[in-house]
Amino acid sequence: MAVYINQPMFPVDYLRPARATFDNPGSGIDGGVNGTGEAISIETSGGGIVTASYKGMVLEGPDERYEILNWLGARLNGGFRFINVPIVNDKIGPFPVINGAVRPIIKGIRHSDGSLHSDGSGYSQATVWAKLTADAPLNAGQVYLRIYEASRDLRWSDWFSIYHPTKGWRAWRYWENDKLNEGTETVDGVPLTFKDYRLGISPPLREAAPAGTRVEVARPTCVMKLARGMTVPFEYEGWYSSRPSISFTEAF
Amino acid sequence: MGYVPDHVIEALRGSHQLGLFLRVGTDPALHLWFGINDVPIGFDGIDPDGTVYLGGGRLVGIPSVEVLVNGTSDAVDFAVSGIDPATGAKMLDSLPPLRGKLVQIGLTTLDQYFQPMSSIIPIWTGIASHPKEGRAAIREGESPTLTLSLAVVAGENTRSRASRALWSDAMQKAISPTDDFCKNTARLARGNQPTWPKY
Repeated sequence: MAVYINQPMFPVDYLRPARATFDNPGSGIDGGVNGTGEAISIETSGGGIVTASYKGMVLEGPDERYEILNWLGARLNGGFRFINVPIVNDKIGPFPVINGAVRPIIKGIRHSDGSLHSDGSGYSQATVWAKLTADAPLNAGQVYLRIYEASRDLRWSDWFSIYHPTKGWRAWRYWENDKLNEGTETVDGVPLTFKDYRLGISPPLREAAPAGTRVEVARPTCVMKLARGMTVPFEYEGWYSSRPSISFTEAF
Repeated sequence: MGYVPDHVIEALRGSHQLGLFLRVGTDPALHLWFGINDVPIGFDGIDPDGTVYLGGGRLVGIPSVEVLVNGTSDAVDFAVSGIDPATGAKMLDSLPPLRGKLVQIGLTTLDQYFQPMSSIIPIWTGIASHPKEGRAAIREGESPTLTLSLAVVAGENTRSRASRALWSDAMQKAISPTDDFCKNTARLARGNQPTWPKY
């Protein structure tokens, strides 16, 4: 039985990919062609699968990154173990500008007595998040959600993700949006701006989610495995110089 | 409204999303469909509410199936490919009894929001016969693949009472289990002159 929850996160910041792709391809069959050689499309995958790849990760010199590369190979080769892959949308999503930069996540938040953790890091928190405002059944193609503290409207499309209890992290994006409402809601004594939307999403939900389920906006995540035929070899040239690429496909 | 609802036919006329569904009526029943996602749907008269058809690309191929009109018979294989021998053996061991179980294929279209536009429309029905396990001979450089398949028959192959038309040993034994009268007819048919036993 495949396990989709409690998987580790792909350390994308540390591995420094130069290129990334995220997609949601479907599969189709032809319905025969007309006189101009075009066919009607018959899509049979019911929403398609989420894929991702990180290309040209910069590994230069002998350092801990090679240990991570070996760990990825040891863990993921064969495609039966999974990993959570973040979809890096840091500068694209509806995030506010804080101290001169678009920030999806605030780091270094101190404890109430002003102290940090023993390693010098603080708490971190997403600047923008959302929740479902209505129950969404399995395979739902439309969701109702309320997004908090967004710096702009949801206009064309953004990636979101939900952490499901058995299917784990699953990502989707919207192709249609209807703005229903906006205003200010006070949560635990803190006034927060919100916007309500009805979104047509693709791919559909992998597991039913009740109203109130948190929807992640900053770095949406999807549980994934290596794409077919993919392995992560330990390889380098010269003085430990390497630019490996990894392709992922949604875990099933 | 016809057998296939009008709005489904309308959708099928242009570019559309097609859902193909396979049900094997074992106990518990197997529900698979062609898509990626699990989807709650069912055959109207068979599946109880809350049935979920499993996706994940597990159903890899549907053979070309024919609907017989006054025809004789048809037999097709539904296959799962790319499993190792140990898993294959386990799968065969753990299969519920399936000989004579109903196998159904149905379809429907999905709307813009990936929701089925009707319950599954049954288009082909067969009777499960037997599972097969096969592994083709491979050459150097190729990787071995094990294929598990289920033979499904339709039409006259599905009769449950055989017609005993031949003087063969098997058919004679089916009538009288201890009767050896026809034991040598197979040799006779090959052109041998068997020595008939003396009782």
